[in-house]
Amino acid sequence: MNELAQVTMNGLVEGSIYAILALGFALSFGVLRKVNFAHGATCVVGGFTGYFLIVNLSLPVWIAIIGVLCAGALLGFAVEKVAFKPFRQSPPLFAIVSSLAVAMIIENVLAAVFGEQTRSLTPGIARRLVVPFFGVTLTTVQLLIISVALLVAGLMYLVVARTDLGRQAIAVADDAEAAMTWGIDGPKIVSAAFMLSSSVAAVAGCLVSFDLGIDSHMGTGMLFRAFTANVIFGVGSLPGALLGGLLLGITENFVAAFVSSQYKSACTFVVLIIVLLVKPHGILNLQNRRFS
Amino acid sequence: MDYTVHILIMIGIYSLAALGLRIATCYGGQLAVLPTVGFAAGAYSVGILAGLDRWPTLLSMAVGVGFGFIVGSLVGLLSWRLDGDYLLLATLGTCEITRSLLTNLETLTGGPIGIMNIPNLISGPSPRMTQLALFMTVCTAVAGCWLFSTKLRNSGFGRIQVTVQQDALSTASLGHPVLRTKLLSVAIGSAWVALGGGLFAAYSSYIDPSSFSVEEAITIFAMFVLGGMKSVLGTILGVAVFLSLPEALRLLGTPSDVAFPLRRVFCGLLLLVAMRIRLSVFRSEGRQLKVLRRLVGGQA
Repeated sequence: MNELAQVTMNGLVEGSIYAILALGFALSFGVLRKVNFAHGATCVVGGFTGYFLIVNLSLPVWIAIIGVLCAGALLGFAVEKVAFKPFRQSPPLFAIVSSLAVAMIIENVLAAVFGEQTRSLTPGIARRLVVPFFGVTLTTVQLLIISVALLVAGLMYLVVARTDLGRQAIAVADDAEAAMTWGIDGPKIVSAAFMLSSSVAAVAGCLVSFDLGIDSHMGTGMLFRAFTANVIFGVGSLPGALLGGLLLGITENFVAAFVSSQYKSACTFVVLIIVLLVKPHGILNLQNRRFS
Repeated sequence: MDYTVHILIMIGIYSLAALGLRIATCYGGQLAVLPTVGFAAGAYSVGILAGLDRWPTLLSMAVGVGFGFIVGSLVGLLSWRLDGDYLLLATLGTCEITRSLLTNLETLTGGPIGIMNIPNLISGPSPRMTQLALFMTVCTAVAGCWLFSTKLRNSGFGRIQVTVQQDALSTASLGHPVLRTKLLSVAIGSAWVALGGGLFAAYSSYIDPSSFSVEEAITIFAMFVLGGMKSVLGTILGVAVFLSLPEALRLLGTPSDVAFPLRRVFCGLLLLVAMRIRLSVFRSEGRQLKVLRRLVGGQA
């Protein structure tokens, strides 16, 4: 029983990282209806930026996270300009290939600069203290991860639901052309959505480097987790992405604990393929809910 | 072992893989990555049968091609309800599942260590002669695939393939079996990719799961897209450019652990440029689509 609770707890911690990664993905997918294949690479960049700021410049964690947010936003802006904007009117293959190309460039620049080894950082505030919590144990790092993830998810909800920018993004996601006739600057909104989406992904990467450690080839796996978390309940819905991320984290940890840790990453793909084949619009068909 | 010949052989092997993708796909590129699982199927068939069970290499390669055909038609099922981004991601998912199985089924596949001492296809009197003979074999295979691709595209099946990829719904309304066409395209493509995989295993005499990861699948896809989908020669040139880039970097004196990632950086840049250039070309390619739409009365 206790083991069950512990595995669930670890799953929730990992799931909260996947959840904010998936939230970012839902945002960029929502406004453009195109998969940003550089989402995972952005996450890795966030991890390395966090590592650089905390270890090399020895900045406090909260400043580092702000730095990571900014780096992510800049990267998101660039990715949208290079890989999506020129191909707005062309068949989907163009945006697919060009964002894959951008992901390839980012990941391999990182590999060339930082090398291949895994880097993990335990932030200064959190020596691995163990906190008892209803019969399960939580390390302070895990607490930090959960609280940052909650904060980011909450902020994102506020931006999307309570600001003009968010409302305009919902309008663009719903019908870009109609939104234009209401005076909404579609391209600007798409660009803003990409910046927000990528900054969130970068924070997720930073959290991954707290927990598991980060290496330059993690991007593809992270992209798949974001996508799968979205697909479970229907791509493009923010609550769906959040729940999907948590569920995926728990599933992965259960598979790792009770089947084999070797199959941990493969289980994401099995979930993805089963859901896509059986219910391509998601279990709850939240696909057309436009962020709500 | 001549280094230039080694590069040429690798270009030949990956050309087979890229041409396999080309057979499965068409100008729309929808089914493009589906056959990449064939690479692992072919390589591990040769690895297990020839390397561990000591079957003749040629026979195990033939089994590998058959296995690639079967695996291809299974993976092709993904295209039943998916297309575009979803299909690509789902296919890459199958690649990761494959890699995971190869790593974990240790008794069958040797696990993360892989399979060593796979006998070569031909054993000549000297290593150099063996290599040259293998080079000729690979060349023959690529030429065969070239001929096959051309014949296939000009056959009735090839034409239906094009219309299915342009507009599946309209094609179905003309009474063509859409799913069967898709499955068969992917299966045939996958069989050729498997031949490439088999040659890869036999030539390098050692395989491990890292050669069959998602990154490798994306790399094969990138090589294929780089050269363009329109002509066989373009596809082969794309592969050649991709594989000779690190050699050019080596000549400039870059250490190999930096040259390897740099190759992919260059390839990414090339892909971006290629996409920009092809943007204008792509718009003139919808002719067959217009004919189809006229037949079924939709908008052209």
